[in-house]
Amino acid sequence: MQRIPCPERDDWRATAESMGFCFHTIGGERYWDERAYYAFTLNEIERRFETPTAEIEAMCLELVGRAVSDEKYLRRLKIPEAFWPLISESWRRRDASLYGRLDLSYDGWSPAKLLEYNADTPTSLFEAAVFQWTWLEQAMERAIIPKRADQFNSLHERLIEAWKKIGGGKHLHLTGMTDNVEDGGTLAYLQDTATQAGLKTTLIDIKDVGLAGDGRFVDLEDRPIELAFKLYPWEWMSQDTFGAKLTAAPTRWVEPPWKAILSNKGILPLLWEMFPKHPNLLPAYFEDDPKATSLGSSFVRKPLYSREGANVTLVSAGTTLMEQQGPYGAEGYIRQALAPLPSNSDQYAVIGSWLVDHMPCGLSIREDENPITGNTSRFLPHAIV
Amino acid sequence: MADKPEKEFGKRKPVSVPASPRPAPPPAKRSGHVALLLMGTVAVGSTAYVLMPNRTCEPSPNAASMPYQQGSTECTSRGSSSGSHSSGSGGGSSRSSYYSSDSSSSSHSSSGTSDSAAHSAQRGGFGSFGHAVGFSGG
Repeated sequence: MQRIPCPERDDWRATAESMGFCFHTIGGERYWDERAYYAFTLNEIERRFETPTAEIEAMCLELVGRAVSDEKYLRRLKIPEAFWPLISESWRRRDASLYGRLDLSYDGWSPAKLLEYNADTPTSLFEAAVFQWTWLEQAMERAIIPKRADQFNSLHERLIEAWKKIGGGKHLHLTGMTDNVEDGGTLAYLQDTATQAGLKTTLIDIKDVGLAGDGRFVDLEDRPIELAFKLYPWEWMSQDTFGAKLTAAPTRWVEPPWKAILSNKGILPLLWEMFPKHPNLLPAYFEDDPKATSLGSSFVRKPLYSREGANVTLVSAGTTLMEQQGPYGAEGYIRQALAPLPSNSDQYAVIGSWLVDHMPCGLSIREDENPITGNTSRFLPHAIV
Repeated sequence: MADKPEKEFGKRKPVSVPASPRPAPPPAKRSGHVALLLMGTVAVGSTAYVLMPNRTCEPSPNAASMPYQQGSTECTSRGSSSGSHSSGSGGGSSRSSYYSSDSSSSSHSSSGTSDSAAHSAQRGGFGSFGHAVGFSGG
């Protein structure tokens, strides 16, 4: 893995906007950043990311299978009991997963380590699937990168294929917080791919989802919502007013309720317990587990529920090096061994390894001056050279 | 209760990653063709597309034979007083009518749910937690 500075395309902003990529700059700061790219060999992509991602996904599915059969797991994850039937039924029905993203730490020579699984509501999808690909094509044309470069990226066509499997002739509603530009962009892109898969689609804000008298969720025209993609976390769905109605309603959700298990940071200690010393896992324990002291005085403290690095604390030799503020932590914390992110040119990089329909199929890289990457971390493209 | 899951579902399997067909084209890791059907047709220099909730899109009958071509999709947007209609390029004019409708609504009750005047369904039962945080993705 090499971070290679390179010239920007002088028209990339216009290109982004012409494609509907409206959040390339957030709060006046670059989000999309092509002043450098990350270069990998094909062997590195396959050995360090593609194969381990498939392995981690398989371990995660095994964990879900155990959790829905043994309430001890669900208690440890602090998943509310009222939500258990919804989760276990969705697993037993084999409700389909569309996509997810593993966040990995990779130092360039040792096995990549799982930092967390964005299993429920991953964003940065459009830029990974489409705009990163456009960069590759144009950067090759303009001799910014080698002519024969490649990219680990078949996200777009795999999303279309996955929708064909999931859709089954149903009308798809896509819902989330459409007034958030990044969430709205992700929903718009997924609507695009679903439409290309032949599905009839409707985009609806999460607050406009209705509850009919017969217990069904409906859209603004009171049409029953049979199949819904939701870019809104399960732990929030379950706590909102309609949360109590989820179990009885016939709506099938993407991501399915069983993904609530995998988006919980508590899977990190559970995976370590099930697969100790796995090369792609870091030692991790629930904070109230006496074994947590085995991590010593250097660790990362993460809330069970957290997004974009919020409420994550980085402790080294007993000293808090970095702490991200946020609204999470009420359900408890886990501790994970400290695996400092590799720093290139004083930038810390996290690898996002994407899965569609459980298949590893793409890579994205977020970079920050801060060793805890978050909502404002920049997106850099990658190439196989 | 639902049927028991198939034995294989959720079980670890040997990792099977297709071998790279290199040097035969096309290379294994790259996309063959990335095209957008809806996005990018209305959003030049703006955020129009992503702010069009209630937009319904339906592939036209011949879309299957040309799945990646713009114009093979019919989209309608439901506004507060008048819907807009377009083909392929979408209807960017619905934003203001949608949000003016939303902002003028007084139907949200203190309990977080409401009865729409036009419909029998309760609304507003999802979203309150998320709007307190501001974003939902990760």
